[in-house]
Amino acid sequence: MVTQDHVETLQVLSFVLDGDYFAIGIDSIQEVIEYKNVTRVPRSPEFMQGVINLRGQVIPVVDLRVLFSMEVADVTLDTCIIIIDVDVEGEQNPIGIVADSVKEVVEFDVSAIQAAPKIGLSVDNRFIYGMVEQESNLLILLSIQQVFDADDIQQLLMPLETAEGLEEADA
Amino acid sequence: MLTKINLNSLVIAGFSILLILLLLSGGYAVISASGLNDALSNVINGPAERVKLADRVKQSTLTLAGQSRKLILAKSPEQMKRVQSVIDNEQQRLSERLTALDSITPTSSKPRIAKIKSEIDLFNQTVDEVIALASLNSNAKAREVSENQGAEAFDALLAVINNIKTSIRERAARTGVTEAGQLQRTYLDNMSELSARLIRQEKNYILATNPQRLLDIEQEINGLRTAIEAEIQKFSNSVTSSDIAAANELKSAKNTYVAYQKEVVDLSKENGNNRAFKLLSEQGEAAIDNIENLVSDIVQDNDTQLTEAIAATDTEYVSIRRSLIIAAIVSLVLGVLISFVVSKRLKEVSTIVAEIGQGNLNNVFRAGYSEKDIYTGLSNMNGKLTSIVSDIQQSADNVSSGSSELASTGQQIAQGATEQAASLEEVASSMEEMSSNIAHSADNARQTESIAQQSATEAKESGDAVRNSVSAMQNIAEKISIIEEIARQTNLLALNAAIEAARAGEHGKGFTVVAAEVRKLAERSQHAASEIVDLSTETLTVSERAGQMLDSLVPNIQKTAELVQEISAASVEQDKGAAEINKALQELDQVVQQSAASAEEMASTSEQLSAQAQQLTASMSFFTLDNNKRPPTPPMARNGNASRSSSYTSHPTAGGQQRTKTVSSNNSGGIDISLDDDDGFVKYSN
Repeated sequence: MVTQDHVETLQVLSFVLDGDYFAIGIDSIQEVIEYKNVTRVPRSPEFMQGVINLRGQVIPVVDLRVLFSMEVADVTLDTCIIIIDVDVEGEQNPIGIVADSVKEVVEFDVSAIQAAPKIGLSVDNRFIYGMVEQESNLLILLSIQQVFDADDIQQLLMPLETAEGLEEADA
Repeated sequence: MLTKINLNSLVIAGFSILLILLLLSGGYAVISASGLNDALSNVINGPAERVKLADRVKQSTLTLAGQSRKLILAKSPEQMKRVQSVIDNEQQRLSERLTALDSITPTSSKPRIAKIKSEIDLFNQTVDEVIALASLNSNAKAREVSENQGAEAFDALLAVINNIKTSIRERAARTGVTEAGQLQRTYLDNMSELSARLIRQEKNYILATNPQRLLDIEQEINGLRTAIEAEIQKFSNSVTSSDIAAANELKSAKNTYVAYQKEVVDLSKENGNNRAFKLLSEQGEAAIDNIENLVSDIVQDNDTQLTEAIAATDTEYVSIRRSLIIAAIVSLVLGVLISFVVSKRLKEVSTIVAEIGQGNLNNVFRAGYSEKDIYTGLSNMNGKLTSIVSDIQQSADNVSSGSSELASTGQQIAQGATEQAASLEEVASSMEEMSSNIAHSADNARQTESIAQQSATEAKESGDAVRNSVSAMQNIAEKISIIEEIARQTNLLALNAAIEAARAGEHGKGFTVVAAEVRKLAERSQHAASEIVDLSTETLTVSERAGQMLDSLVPNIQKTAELVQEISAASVEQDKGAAEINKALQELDQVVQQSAASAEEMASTSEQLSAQAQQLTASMSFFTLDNNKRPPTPPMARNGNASRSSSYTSHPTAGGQQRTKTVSSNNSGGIDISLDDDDGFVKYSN
């Protein structure tokens, strides 16, 4: 989670998605892995590519392109899975998101963040935190928690949490 | 008058007369010689033969006499037989000779031959008698008996006497000498002596020939016989009865001997040989003398005849000689006459021949000679020679002018040929240059060919190298992908590190920078690797293209090499062709030079020909020709057929005008005559 009050600089991981540069705050990122061994899950939503086994932990993989209503692209060598922690029902759960390619870890001043324009973007305004000019590229800062905060997604993610998660949530 | 007669006929007639005379005298001589020969043959076959035969008759009678003597003396019957056969043969021959003599004896002399015949018959009778007597051969037989049986009997008698003597001596030794024994011995001694005398007289009787002596010896022999008889009788009387046997033995031995002796005496008494000899000596000799006388008469007669015959032959010879001498004189006279006539004619002819021989053809011939005569022939020859010489002179002029033209033409040809030869030499040198160029080109083509071959090989090798490099590039690309992978992984790791560092907050700040740097390096290597991949891909494409191009290049180069090879071969062929052309040119050059030489030779030859023609003209000037008198055609032409005369007149027309020209140029004083003019012919021929 980004704390804009205390921190004057912000570190993000930039990545490419359908030719556009996006960035996610480093706090929410666990690690980056190669795209491989994605097991499809039957009767899952369209944005769910499947699950992976990461060091014994089964992690769902979400295709942001589908989520962001972009065209579905083939997997390339550069395709990566970014493991992020998402708060689902108050619990930090790792989720893999598929990026066309991962660029770099960028640090910049918070003051450099500009507000996203209200219209004309391919991504829903709700998921965008701001935009940063970075080396002639315009980084779109994604508010990842917002992305997965949507009810439908939360709902969809729920069954994936199995009975355990539900029990925990109940508790 | 004789001029009308042909010289040939004259000679033949003269020699024929001489030949006939020769034949006549020869025939006469042959006949006379045969007459002489006959006379000689008569001489040889008549009197000479008769003399020969008469001599042979005489010889035969002498041989007969000799053989008869031989017969008388012969001892053995074999010898006698041999001699008798000889005598028979001789008698046969004698009669044959006599018959031959009789056949050739003229009738006038026949009585003489008959006389000889009778004499010979007489002689033959004598010989026959002699043979009869001699064949008795009593003396020889008597001797034989005496020597064989007689001698044996005598020996036996002596042996008996000696035996008796011995027995008496023995008896005397035993009983002592008795008177009777003494007496007996005396008888026996007498007997021995008488026997010895008897046998001696027997031998004498055999040897004796005189009849008187024979009688004497016979009486003596008889006396001796009776004496021996008496002695034996005495002995017989004296002996005792015991010796009677010995006495008888003695008596019988004596009788045996006397018997043989009697036979000897009887044979000797015949005395055949001696009688035969006597007969031969008396009657035979007389006959031979008669025959000899007759034969010498015949010989004498025939000698006379011979002398007469020779005298007759001599007379005949003299008459023959005279006849032959007369014939020879006649022949000599005739021969001289004929040779005088012939020599006169020959002298005439030889004078003309000598004139012609000296080149003078202007001879005057008299008429009235026979057409077949040598004189007329000479006249014709003179005319012909005249026309031939004039023809030759004209022809020589023509040849002279023609040959000089020929000489100039020949020189022109020679000059042309020399020019040709020069042009040919230029062409030949150009050709040689060209052929050397061609050879150079051929050499270059050969070199190019080898280079092209080498290039083809090298291009092939280059293709292989390019292919190798392509595969190497592919390898590189594969290896680069590994590097790329590593770079990407590193990048991820760096990102993760950066993320971790960022989480660490303030403490991880430095590490974040390192991680960023690492990530940057990884990115750079990834970038470089991708660049290398791009480059290698590009290189690969280019190399593949280069390989393809090289692959397509190799057959092209090989094709080029083949083409160059063909060019090389063609150049070599060209080279050969050029060499052949060169050779042909050289040959042509030789031919042209030869023709130039030939043309020059021709020119010189024609000059020589011209000189020869002039020489011929000079030689022909030896003949002196009076142009006025030159006969256009020989007299023969008139006698010959029409076609011949026309050929004579038509032939010289072409040359006639030319001759006129040459004659006028050579001799200004010459006279222009036309050979076509028949009037001239009429004028000069008779």
